[in-house]
Amino acid sequence: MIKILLTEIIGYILFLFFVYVEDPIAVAGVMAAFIVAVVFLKKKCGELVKDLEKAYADNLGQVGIIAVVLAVTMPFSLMGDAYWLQVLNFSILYAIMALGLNFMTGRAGMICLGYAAFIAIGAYTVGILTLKAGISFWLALPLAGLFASIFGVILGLPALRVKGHYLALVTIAFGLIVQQLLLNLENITGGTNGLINIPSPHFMGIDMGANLDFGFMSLSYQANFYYLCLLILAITTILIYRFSNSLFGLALNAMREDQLAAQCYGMNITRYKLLAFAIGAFFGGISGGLYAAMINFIAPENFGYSMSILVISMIILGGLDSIPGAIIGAFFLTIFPEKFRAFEDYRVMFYGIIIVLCLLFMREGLLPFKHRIFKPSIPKGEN
Amino acid sequence: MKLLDVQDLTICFGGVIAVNEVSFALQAGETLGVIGPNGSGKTTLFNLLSGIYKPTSGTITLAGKLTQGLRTDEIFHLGLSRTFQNGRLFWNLNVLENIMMGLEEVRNTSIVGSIMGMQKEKDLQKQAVQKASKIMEIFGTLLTSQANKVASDLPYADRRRLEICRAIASNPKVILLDEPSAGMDGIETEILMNDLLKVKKALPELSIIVVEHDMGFIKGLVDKVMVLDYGKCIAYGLFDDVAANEDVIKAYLGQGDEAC
Amino acid sequence: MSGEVFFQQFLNALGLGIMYALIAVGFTLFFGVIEVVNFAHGEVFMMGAFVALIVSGILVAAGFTMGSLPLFVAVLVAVLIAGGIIGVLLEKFIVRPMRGAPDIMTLLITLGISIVMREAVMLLVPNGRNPQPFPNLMDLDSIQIGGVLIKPEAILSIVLSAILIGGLAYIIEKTTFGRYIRATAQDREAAMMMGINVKKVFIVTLALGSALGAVAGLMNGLSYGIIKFDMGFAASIKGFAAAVVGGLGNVYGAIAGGLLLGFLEILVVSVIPDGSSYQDIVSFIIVIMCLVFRPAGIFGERAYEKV
Repeated sequence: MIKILLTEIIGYILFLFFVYVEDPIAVAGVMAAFIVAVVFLKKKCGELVKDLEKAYADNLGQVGIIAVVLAVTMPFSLMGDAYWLQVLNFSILYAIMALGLNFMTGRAGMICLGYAAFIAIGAYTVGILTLKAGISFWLALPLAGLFASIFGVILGLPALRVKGHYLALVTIAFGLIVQQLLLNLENITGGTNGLINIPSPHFMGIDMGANLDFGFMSLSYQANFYYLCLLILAITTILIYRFSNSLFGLALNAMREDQLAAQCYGMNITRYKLLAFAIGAFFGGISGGLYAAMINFIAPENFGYSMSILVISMIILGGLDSIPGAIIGAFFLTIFPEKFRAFEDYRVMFYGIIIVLCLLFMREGLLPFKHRIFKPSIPKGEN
Repeated sequence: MKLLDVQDLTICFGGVIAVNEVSFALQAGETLGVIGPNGSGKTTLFNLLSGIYKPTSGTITLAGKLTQGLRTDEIFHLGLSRTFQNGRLFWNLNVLENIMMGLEEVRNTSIVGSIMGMQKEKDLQKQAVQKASKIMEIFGTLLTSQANKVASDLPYADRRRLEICRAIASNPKVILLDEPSAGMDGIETEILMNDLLKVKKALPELSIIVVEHDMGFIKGLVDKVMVLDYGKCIAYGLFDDVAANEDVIKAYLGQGDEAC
Repeated sequence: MSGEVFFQQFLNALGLGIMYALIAVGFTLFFGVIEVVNFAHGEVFMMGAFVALIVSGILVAAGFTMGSLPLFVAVLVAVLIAGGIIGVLLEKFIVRPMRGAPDIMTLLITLGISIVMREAVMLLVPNGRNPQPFPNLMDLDSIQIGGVLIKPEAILSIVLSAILIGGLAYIIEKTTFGRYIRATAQDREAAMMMGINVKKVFIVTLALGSALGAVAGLMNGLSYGIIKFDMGFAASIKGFAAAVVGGLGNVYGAIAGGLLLGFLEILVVSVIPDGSSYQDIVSFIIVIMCLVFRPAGIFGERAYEKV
């Protein structure tokens, strides 16, 4: 408990340091020192690190609660800084997407290079429903997830017959088709101009587009969305965690390993594939819906192929099929480049390099997938 | 009543007739050996039985039901389970998980239930772990001691054992063993033989079809033998009768100096 | 549609199709021989165009006349060599280290390197974010056939591509090394046991395919007069699609697939009103249909999974 608390606070302080120190060189220096320290620790005090890992693995509930409590105080520590809150909001949205894509690609083995399409569908669902039909955001958001799921099933249908490279091609094509449709169906989607002035949601009479006033302190309006996104990230994590640790998640793993063998052992592959697509797409839709309400403006160019690649690079960096990995990957790849805005042009290249380096030297990712440990209840013949 | 009844089973790939009008029947608890040289259609026959390939003509009746038009997983639910020539374990899952994949519980979980964390699902999971652990005990401590090891880390012989465990986990009526001794030396083969006899003893109602190209291996195991050559069944009957059959000796055993 | 317009469109389709074919041949070779899908192949195409641009600039500065035959030949050779070198580098640093890794990983790494290549060109070429005008490397008089004015670049591209594809076919079918390539494609292990240097075969395959892809980029520059750093992505998709339509691994299928895709696209553009905005959608839908219903390609037989 103490260990967990301590390490999480260290992480928290490091992040604040990262935010408050302006000089990118100093930041890079500290980051490098931190990485060296971690590597050193792992080498010299392997026991300590192992202990820590075990403590984390055994007390997932505590880890989550402490993390959430710390996260709740974050807007105050940032003094309501609009810019950094927005960055955090984006990282949370990306974490939700990464979790969804990770479920599809990491767990079920269905490679998807058109994930941005689901995000776009979610965003346009919220945009169109709240802007043109005047439906409440709180109703539109689940519908965004639902529509994305429906499209997930539509994409899943060809995926029933193709796999591997072919599936990659089909999903890329799917992403491009959706983007093209958004461009061409001008009456509904606004074409190239996109949708502007998407209304901000209201929550119990509070306009989420207005500053969050506590009396003693006023936080910029991004704080509203920060708390909303955080809540949804927490729910997403719990849902994905439960999916993954259920027998259903096990079956998806088996399907990833060997479709034919899974079929020969009684799995109805059709059903599982479509479910994997629907569930993965659902979270993409939700994060897209949040995005639309937060930014108030969406256009097809926001949901291109490069977004799909970005989300893929997040789960590769974090480790395929690893839930904490997906979250860390999303946070790292969103927050880290922010400090180096002077090198903004190199950003996409940086994502590419991350993918290549990870696959060449660290195929398991930062936080590799940990196997479920089932405890056989009849521990006979252990020796 | 016959458990498995195969009539005039035929499949053509392009112009090649891989399995040609094969017929046989299997009673509950009976063991059938299918032998024949490489490329004689043994594995194709298994793929037809388990529904991976659709026959060009002929019928398969399993437990009183025609399997025509059924998917692989539906045939599995009728009580037919199998192993594969080249392993095909779920390599990145651990031993226990591999066996669990053969269990009904995995397919009976409700998705809503599992995300809500319902007690029923937890019980189901616990039950699955229990059952899987129990199945492993057929081989004593060989597998139970490595229950949490990833399948790809297992030694070769244990992989074979794991495969057999996975195949019998669902309590099938028939299992198909596709060259279980492939790649093993004499001693390993003998151990495997003992393992299979253990399985037979533990599950007397289970019917087994075992593909081999070495007749010696199945001698003590099988009740009946079928010999395939170029997709055609050239002999079918009790082991000793078949072994004495002229055609068989000519087509297959006759090439005495060729090591099998 | 009048005969003249028809003829013009026919040439357009042929030009587009043969360019797709040049790219598709690479995809199909890589898959057939090395069993990888190289998503960076489109970037090789893009880099081919940029190499042509830069080399022609240098040569003109060195005294060659723009539009002369020697310049064109020199640029063509430079592009072929550059493509080959990129192919060798890809083999050495990307494809080889990934041998034995799951398919999905190999595919993702080629995607990753494609991003790096694209961004590198954008950053390194001056004003690289914007489209670059492509010089007219070969001054040719316009040709008139039956009253139709034809862009000579189109004819040049078509003829040159046809020659290159013919050359590749010759190498594969008639030379000893071509036989090694075919043997490796059929059964890698057997080829190895027969003493074929499979490693070398892989390198040469990637070099050959990449050289052709790079030339396709040069053709693209010639035909449209404009190149951009991000043109490789579409080329990857279309080239891969063409290879799939023709049956991955089948060189002649890839050529047919490329031509088919080119003709279909031009057909969509010219027949459907406002077709150009649906050009890509239609070709992608065709690809998806093809993948779903004829995964072994339009000429392929139904494949049975090995069990």
